[in-house]
Amino acid sequence: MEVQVMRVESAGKKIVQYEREIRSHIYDSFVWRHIEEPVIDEDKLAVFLAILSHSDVEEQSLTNYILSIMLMQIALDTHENVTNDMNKEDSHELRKRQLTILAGDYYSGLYYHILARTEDVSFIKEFSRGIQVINESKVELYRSKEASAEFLFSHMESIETVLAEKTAAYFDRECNMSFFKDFLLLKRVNQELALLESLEYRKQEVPSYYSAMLLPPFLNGVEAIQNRMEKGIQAVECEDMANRARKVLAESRGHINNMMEKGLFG
Amino acid sequence: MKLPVLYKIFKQDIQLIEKELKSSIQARSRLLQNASVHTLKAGGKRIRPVFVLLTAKFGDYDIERIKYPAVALELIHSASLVHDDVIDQADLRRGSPTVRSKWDNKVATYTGDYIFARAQELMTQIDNPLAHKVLAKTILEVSIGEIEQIKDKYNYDQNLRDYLTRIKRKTALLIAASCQLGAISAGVSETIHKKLFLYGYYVGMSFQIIDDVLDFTATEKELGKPAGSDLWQGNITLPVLYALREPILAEEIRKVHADMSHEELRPILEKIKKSGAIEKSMEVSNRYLNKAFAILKELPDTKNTRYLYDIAEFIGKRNY
Repeated sequence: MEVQVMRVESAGKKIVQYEREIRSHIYDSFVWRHIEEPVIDEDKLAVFLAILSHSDVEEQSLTNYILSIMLMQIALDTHENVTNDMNKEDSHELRKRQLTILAGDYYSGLYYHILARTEDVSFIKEFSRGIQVINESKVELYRSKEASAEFLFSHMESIETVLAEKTAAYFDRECNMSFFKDFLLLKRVNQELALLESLEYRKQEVPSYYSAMLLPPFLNGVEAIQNRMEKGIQAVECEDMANRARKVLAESRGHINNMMEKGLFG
Repeated sequence: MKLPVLYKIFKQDIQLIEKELKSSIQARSRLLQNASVHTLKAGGKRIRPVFVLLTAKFGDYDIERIKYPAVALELIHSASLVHDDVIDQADLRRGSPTVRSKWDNKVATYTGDYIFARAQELMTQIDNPLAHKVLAKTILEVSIGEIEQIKDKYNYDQNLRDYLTRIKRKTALLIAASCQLGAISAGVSETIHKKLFLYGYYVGMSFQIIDDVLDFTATEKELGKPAGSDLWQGNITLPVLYALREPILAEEIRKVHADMSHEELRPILEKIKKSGAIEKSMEVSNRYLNKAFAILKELPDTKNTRYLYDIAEFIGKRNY
């Protein structure tokens, strides 16, 4: 028990340190006055730390890898907030959009700048391939008209897990990858379900692929991920990671129950 | 020498770059493929690849190696234009619909990110870490410049230094990097590739100043957008900075805002043109060109150095 507590504290402490450092790189008083403050995804940070902390990388390079990977993630997430429609008269809304795209470009520039310092050109190559795959999946998901559960899982998984997968493969640390992939995918599904619930509540128009999320194949798929994770948690050595997985799992079950009670599933 | 003559000399290699550009995009997503190809089809002068080719001639010129930075730099430039069109809400670029107008802002954002990542991947064919440090620093500075531009919109109290720093980041550094990266990729010595960086920087500064002047002097047809668009969008360029030194004209300029019609803007543009601001701006542009020429005198007197002279001269004299 004592060992486990120490592990949780140690992983938690590292995450806080990295969060602080990432924040110091991305903070800009002017930009942040206008855009939504970027979210530093602690769970993804925990996954990257779990992958990299057992590799042979020396401390300074490890920091550079973690910082650059997270900056790229933040860049991609920031660009998700770029909007299409707006009131043409609303100059604040226009500035917000302009700075959202530019902030994403800046974070992506920071990622490359820090990664270039590691002088690891092969990693830049692998990672840039991953970024291409993510953007391909983002376009497909965004513009999908008739989505199947398989299509949704495939693209959501690619968007959420390719960076982790590329990192694990590059550093030959693929042992827990299927668990990490389920964890990150379920987290994404939770976000989509939360949005779907709130949109339903507000009776707003939902994205076209949301209808496929309300059908049995998708629900079955979510349950399959939940079951795999339930089993996988037993094998997770790091207690911090296991706690995060339990939380995501509980949230997922909560969403499904809520939505069933509301009679949303077809 | 005119630019078309220069293009003729490098015809074969430029054609190869054009072919590589087209084949560089191989997205599995058909939509992303179409949007990326649409972006590259819009064309342009391909000035960055030309600089890569020219400066690589100072070293071990192997087109099969040099094509990677040449294509990568053009892709980076194209990706930034796709995002710029979202920022400027532009519907047309060089007379063609922009990605954001053909599809939408989100697709344009993903397309820019995709092209950018593809450029980085191609660049990794150059395994010299210095090349990546140079390119990464440039990209970061360019994005800072873009943010500064938004910050300084409709800020009529900015000074010449603010403007020069902004255009350095926005335009000159990528041209400077193109010159330096061509040289680094061809194994040119540090002394020479640093001089080529400076040459590109001075040419880039001149290029942007002329671009800013053309926004007043060229026609809507030549520009592919209404004349005076920069001022209308709140971008304070060098001619405007000079015009602001005339108190009466300054009062009118300070009233320019995004909701103003082009008809309302036209008399102000005419007054700026007659104020001497254009001539003064061109003097600054020429000073940068002369600095570029001075750098060339420090380089070996070869055919390639003369080509760089020609291309700088062309940029200094271009009408649109």
